[in-house]
Amino acid sequence: MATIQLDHLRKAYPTKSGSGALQVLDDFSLTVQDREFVCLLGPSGCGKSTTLDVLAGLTKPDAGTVTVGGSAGWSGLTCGYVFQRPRLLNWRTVRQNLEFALAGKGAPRKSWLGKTDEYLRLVGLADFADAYPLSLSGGMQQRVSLARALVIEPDVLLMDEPFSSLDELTARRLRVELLDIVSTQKTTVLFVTHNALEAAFLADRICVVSQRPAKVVEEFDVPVGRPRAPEDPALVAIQAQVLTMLEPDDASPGDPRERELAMP
Amino acid sequence: MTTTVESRTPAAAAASNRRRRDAGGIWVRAMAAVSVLLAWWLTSLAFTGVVPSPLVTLERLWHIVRYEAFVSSVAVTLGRVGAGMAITVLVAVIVGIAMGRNRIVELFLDTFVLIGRTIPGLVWALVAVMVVGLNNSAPVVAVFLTATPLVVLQIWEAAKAESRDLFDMAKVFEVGRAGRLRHILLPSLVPSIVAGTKLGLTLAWQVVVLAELFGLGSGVGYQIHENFSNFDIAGVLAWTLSFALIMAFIEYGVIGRVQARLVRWRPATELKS
Amino acid sequence: MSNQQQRSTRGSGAAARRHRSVAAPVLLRITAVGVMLALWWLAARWIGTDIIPTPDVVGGRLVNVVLHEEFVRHMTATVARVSIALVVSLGIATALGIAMGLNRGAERFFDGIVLGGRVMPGLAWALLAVMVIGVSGTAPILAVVLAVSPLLTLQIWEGTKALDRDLFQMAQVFEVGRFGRLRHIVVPAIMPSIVGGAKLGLALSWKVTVLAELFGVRSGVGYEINRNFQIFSLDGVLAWALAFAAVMALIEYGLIAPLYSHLTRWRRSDDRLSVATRLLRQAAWFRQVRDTRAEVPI
Repeated sequence: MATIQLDHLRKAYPTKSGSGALQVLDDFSLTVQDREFVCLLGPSGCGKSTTLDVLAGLTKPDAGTVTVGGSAGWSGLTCGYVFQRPRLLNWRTVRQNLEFALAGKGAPRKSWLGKTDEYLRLVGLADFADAYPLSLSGGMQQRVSLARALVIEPDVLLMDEPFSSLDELTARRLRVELLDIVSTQKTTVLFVTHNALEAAFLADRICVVSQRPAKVVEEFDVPVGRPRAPEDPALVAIQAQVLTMLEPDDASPGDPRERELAMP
Repeated sequence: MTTTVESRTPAAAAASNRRRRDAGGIWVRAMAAVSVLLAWWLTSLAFTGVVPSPLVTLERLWHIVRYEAFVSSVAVTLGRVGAGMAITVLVAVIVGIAMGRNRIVELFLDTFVLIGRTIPGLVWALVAVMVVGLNNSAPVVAVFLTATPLVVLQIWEAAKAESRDLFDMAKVFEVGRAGRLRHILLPSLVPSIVAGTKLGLTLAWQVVVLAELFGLGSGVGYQIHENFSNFDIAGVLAWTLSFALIMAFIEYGVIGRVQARLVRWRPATELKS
Repeated sequence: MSNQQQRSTRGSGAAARRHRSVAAPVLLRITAVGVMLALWWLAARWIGTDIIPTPDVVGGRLVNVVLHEEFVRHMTATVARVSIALVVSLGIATALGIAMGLNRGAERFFDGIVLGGRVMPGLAWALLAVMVIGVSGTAPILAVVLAVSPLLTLQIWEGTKALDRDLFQMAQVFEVGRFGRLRHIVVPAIMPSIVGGAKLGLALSWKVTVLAELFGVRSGVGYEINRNFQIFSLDGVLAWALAFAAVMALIEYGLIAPLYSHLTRWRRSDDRLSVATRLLRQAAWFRQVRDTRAEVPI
């Protein structure tokens, strides 16, 4: 059971001058149920990526606890992470990059060829299995990164704005594929985005995060059955609702980071 | 998308480039080669008895290959170059990684790397011959002292480059420490290791020849010295030219090929130098 | 948190670390030099001071060389040879490099020769020059010109090829003549590669000069180094080499580096420079020298 529980997380980074500290997380709590798809939606720079890093065990919180599947840490559960930038090993082919993750998970070597083929086909890169990352476009590299996270068939999938660097058509197709995979594999997903429509289309629940220090200020359930159509009026209504929620009434007006949210 | 990939295939682009460049230029280049030979020949006419003509030099080279210890001398010198470079690269990889990953080691050693780079191989060759003596280790020591700062510099810079993002990624995918070293740190250093070796090699063979020149009893440098003492200019020319050609072949033909293979993951534009 | 933010926080961590240890690097470097000298001293004592002279002996000899051993005569002889040879090489290389960069025929004619010339080691030229010309002072000059010109030509050729072609079209539109284009576009644009070439050429020419002097010229630093080698005086070899390297470093950092930053001042926007900026540029120059990928043989 891959339930995620973040309790009272605190994290501060030293500021540029070295004197003060930038409080990124201050008493941040969030629960994601098993097999739930949760979108963290908020302005850039509000601490969403830090939340994912803390959850993945890459950043140590100053205070608070991370519980996955009932016990502290990642006891036996696997984690797939699609980073904001692809983070590929440029000296290994696309297929070898996927195998890197398979080896880390300890998957039997015999299964590698079939698995890599399957997931590369899924992200539309079947013809590029033996290409080197630097010969691919940025969007293609990001899709390799997505395939790498999926190929290990993780219990929990963390995604940090994975589709923001893709063209809208590709992103649309991949969103549908993603929903398909996570529902068949019963994956728990925590998905970071600043695109409200994307969140409405994907999520079971949308958590709107405030400006620094990050805090969940509002939650929206998305009671729309699957498969969903991207233009479903119910989804657009939810998007509008979320955006009104984010309308800057007390925040500084005209902040470009806020405006960014309005553009799907 | 296919076209993007195709246009970036390094080998194909380079080959088509070369073809295009060579098609018109071959006659001009042939003319250039003939002019060089002609200039050489005219010089030899002007300084008869001092400068040997191209033909005389070629005859001398044939004689050397045929009757003098050409193969064994070249083998001896190459052996010294190889031994020196092997030790150099081994030490440089360890020191370079240590300097790149540890700030204290870096601060402790950077001065010596920078100073060491400016000391000419000539001085090291003399020092090695005087301290180590006239034996096989002298040229090896000379190569080590000359080339190490240079190769370290290359690896140090590469090891310094931030690879934290990749290490974090490996951690998430549960790749262990050994795997991270083997699959992330070392491969990211390979281009600079090969480039450093190539650079060091150019220096190494000249330092070995110098050390041999200063008193060793074997090797190409010794042969050059013999011919120099007998005032046999054709001999000096034949030995230096032939050995320079052999080294150029090793550098560009052998190492260049290894380099192209090891860093084939880089797009063509970055491969140039 | 966005990626940008994350990077800046990481950067700020580094800044804090730098801030904390402003004095430490200097101390550590001084310690390192001390340790190295101590190691040298110990090695000399252990192996025998007749084989390896201790640092203080070399230092004493260095003082003696400068004060009592015709330092000025030999140094001026060598520096004069280096300068003449460098000027001649730069002249040849500039003319050839520009011609090759602008004219396809010239490029095809000379590219093989230039690349082939680079393969020929300075050592070979030094030997041949001494044998052909004899022990006169012109031998080192010829050797340097033959060894250095191909390298410099390569630099300037590449610099010219990188020229902005759009500027030529602009000049054509404004009806600037051939000579004007050469003077106002080509020469300023390739100045950095000419001075960069001079820097590279200097490093190579003094080594080749010393080598040629070593093989049989009766004056100059190379002659003194060889004389000390023949009488098996390692402290003499080291003292002369050190003294000469110091003079060359002085020329490079005192003359060529400021010249370089003066000639490339248009690359930055600010016109009037504070002392701090100038120092920073020197540091940048130092880093650039350090990072030069083209290595000087021998």
